[in-house]
Amino acid sequence: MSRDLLLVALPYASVAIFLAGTIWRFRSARTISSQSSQFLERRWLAWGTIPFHFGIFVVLADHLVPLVAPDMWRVLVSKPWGLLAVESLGAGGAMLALLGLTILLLRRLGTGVVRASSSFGDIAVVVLLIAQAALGFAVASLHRWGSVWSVGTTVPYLRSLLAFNPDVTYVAGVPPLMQWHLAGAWIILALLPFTRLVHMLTFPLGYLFRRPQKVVWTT
Amino acid sequence: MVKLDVRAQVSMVFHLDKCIGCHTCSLACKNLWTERPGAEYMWWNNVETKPGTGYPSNWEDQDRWQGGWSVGQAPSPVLRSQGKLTGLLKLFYNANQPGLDDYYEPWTYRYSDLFDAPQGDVQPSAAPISQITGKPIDIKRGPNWDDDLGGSPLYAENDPNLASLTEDERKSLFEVERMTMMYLPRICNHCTNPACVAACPSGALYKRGEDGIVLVNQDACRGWRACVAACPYKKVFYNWKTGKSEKCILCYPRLETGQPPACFHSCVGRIRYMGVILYDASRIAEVANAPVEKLIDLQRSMLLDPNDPVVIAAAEENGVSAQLLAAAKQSPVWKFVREWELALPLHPEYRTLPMLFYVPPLVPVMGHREEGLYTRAGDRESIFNAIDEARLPVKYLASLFSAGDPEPVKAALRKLMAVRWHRRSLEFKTIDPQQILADAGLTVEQANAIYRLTALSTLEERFVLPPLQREEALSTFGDTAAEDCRQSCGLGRTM
Repeated sequence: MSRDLLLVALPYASVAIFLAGTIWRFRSARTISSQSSQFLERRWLAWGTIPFHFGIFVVLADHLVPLVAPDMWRVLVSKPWGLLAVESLGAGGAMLALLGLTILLLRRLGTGVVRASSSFGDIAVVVLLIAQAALGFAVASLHRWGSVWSVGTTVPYLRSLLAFNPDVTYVAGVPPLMQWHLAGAWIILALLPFTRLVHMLTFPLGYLFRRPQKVVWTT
Repeated sequence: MVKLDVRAQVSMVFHLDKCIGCHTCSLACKNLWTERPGAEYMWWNNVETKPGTGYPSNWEDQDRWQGGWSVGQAPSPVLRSQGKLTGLLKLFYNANQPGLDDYYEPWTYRYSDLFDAPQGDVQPSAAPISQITGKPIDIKRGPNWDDDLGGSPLYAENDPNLASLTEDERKSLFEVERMTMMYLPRICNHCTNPACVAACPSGALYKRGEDGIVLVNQDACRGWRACVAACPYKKVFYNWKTGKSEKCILCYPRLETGQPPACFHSCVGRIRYMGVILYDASRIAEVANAPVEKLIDLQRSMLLDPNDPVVIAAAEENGVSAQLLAAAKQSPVWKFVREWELALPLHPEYRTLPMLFYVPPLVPVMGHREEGLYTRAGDRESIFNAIDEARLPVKYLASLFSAGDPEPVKAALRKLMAVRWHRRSLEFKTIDPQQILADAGLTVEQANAIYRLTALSTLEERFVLPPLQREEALSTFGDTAAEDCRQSCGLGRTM
């Protein structure tokens, strides 16, 4: 019962909250911002934000590719060089992200002007992300070759959720650390629209395609 | 011949000879727009002492900030601060964005100390507290910290414009007997080729088609801060509280009800002139990408004569309103910039085609110390030599207003000088003004008109603008995502 709660109810609740929250948040875009604090402090920020963002991009790619293309992924990790590549990329990305996040947290708490301009949510998301990244890194290092065993466990489980036909038997045997990591992901997803993390939904890809100047007429 | 793409621009002229550096404009602006949490440090209008480092500190040092444009492969210039892809990489951290140290940490005073202090032998004082942390701070810098410090080693010596001078000229600027200064009031230049607009990853910045005012859509801004880095004048400011960027809005709510902007209206020296300028938008890329020595001439030629029937017809076809066209014919800006060629753009070499113009100041005090004696330099016979021997070297002014070319500045100063001698000749009949006016390239009528507009003009002569009639559109807060370029959109290419 509690397993269903964690593995079925939580994901659906989280996605529902994420979708409703996103629509609510975007009704007025006035508050949506990266909430950059570079203006207030930039030296430590550079050491935190750059490793974190590039690290998390790699980690997210390492998570999303098997979900989107499991067959391709299976072929890739069946080769020793492929396995080594994705595992070391993931580990490297996770370490960069963790390093960055730690610096960001210390900076946020330790710099007077940044601390004073931080909301509870600003601090909470950094703590949550550290916990989540640490859990994931622990799973990857304590339960070796997650990129292989996930193909038969978490990947089909997540796909079953996506297909509205949840099958928790896939993840019945995964380590508890992994289950916590899954729960953490759902919590972060649910909180995303209500925190500064919402800025990732507005990644300005359109910039690549627009003309430099913009002139707006009303008449 | 390429068809004219006529657009109207609300434009301003600052007559620096009249600026007394009182900062009334800055305060009027601050009281109206930026007295809010997160905006305390913003000075949409500020007045700088030159030579000096300005605000934010050393904003003119484009090697550091990478503001503005550089010459690109024809036909368009390229942004200095970022390309398309590097723009996305700089979202996380932008090395070209100034920080709190380059502005100052805003503060107020704990006035309650004055009331709560226990009774004692000394008067209590209010301790300064940061407006960000609320804690006591040790004030290091503040607004106008370099005010009037024209000869100071801390500020004036670091002015990037001094690079245009020789070692001797620089030294003489810091001799007690020769040091000098001028004031430079600055607001957003509402450029025709704005770097901030081109840099914005979210497309939140835009230029209004009808009047050329550059604005940040607060709903579309995501706080990526590329505009702050790209604007070479550092006139876009990041609000640390809301996480959005803000800038001078040219008081458009006031303009729409027929009132001058707050900075204009409060100006004690009446140095500001406001009017409509018509320009050919099809030439933006060509002019912005021109060789540096041609920038002044080409930008002048881009401005169109409001009395030319061809221009009027093209403007009407483009939807420029009858009221704006009528105002353009009376525009004091047109007179200063084109008819008399007295006013010049600030740092045209940034290639944003700024649409505010400055009449360079005549700093004609030529006396200096020679072997312990105060001597007046300059040959009385040749009046215009005074310009070359003025305290503030023409080269310095040229570095500010004409991309280093002394000729446009000299021509303007000669005219200012000739107008003065012409006025003097009306009192002292011994002076014959004809030759002086001819040397400066002015007619008597022009000299009288310049005198009238400079010294005697009423508010109605200085502010010639119909109510902008945009209040019904309410587009400022609505959807500005759809871009409608009409004919030319400035720079045409996407990558």
